[in-house]
Amino acid sequence: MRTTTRHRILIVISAALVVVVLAGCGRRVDFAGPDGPSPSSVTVGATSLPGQASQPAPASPDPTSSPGAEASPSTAPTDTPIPSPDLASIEALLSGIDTDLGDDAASAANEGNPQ
Amino acid sequence: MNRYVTRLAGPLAGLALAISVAMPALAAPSSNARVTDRPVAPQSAETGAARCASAWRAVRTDRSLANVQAAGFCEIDRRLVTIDRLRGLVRDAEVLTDAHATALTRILDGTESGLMSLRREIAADTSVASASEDVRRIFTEFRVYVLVTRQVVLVRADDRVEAAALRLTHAADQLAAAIERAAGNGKDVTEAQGHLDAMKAATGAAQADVAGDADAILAQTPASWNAGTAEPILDAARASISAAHAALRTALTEARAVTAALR
Repeated sequence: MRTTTRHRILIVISAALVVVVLAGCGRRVDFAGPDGPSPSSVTVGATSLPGQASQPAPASPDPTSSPGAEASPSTAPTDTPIPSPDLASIEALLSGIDTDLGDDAASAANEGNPQ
Repeated sequence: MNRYVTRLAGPLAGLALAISVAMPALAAPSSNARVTDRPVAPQSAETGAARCASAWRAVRTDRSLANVQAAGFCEIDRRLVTIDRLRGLVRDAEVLTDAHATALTRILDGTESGLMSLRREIAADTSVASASEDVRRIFTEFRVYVLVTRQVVLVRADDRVEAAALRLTHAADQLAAAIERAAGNGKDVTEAQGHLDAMKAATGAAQADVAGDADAILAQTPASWNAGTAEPILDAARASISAAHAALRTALTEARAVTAALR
């Protein structure tokens, strides 16, 4: 009877050990996991805002859009930061296209000739 | 003694089980590490035609079976290195659509398996004539550089155009909101609006330039290259990507002009 109880305890310890080791492996995979785009910051004019093209423009209240609002350069909306587009990431894509076109132009020369 | 063995048996069994589960996961090779499938692992990262120049010189000096086979092996091996590199481009390209990445991977996998099969055929050749014919097939049946490489880089460029156009469209929305706000503040936004309109037009032109190109590029095969129909399609796609690139550059310049006009 005592032997059976001891066996059960040992089996529980073994299972816990397996869970601990597997949890460690899972954490390692998570760490090496998805490579998301790094946030970038773009400065346009006097306004610097985080700009990620895939993100929607942050909604900001605009009092001047209400009917009858007084249009004046000194009113509050001028203090609201203008969302700055992520032009740097677009520039990077254009550079990538340059690279692709260069690779395309160079590729044919590598074909060689069986003769 | 038996008591100690009994006490230790459970933990040791658990530990062994854990190690047997964890080690393969930790030691798993990357998905593209398939060199073990190959008859010979390529030794050089050089993939240009110059890599096999000495092998071809040997063939010209002595057209023996061994020399022809060596030239064939060299040509296949450098293509396998290129395919690995192209597979990396597909895997790491953030802008490729899933459908395009899948299509390109299928092309690369098929080319790789075909080349490895041909390598075995060349190794089994017993005459100079049959080996020479098989070496010629490396070029005519696969077209790794004039077709497959171009398919990868042109489709990637095409998707970059699409991605840039989408980002410019989103940027245009942001700039339109900024113009609206500036107008509400009493600012003259005529100039900014003009640049925004030009930006939108250029972005639309870029998208129109490359419409349908990727599908046309992916549809090409070594057979269509040999028939003379693939090269004009690839060249036309290249020209449209270049035009789209210029249009995107214009759109980007106009976007900066909008922000400058709003200052």
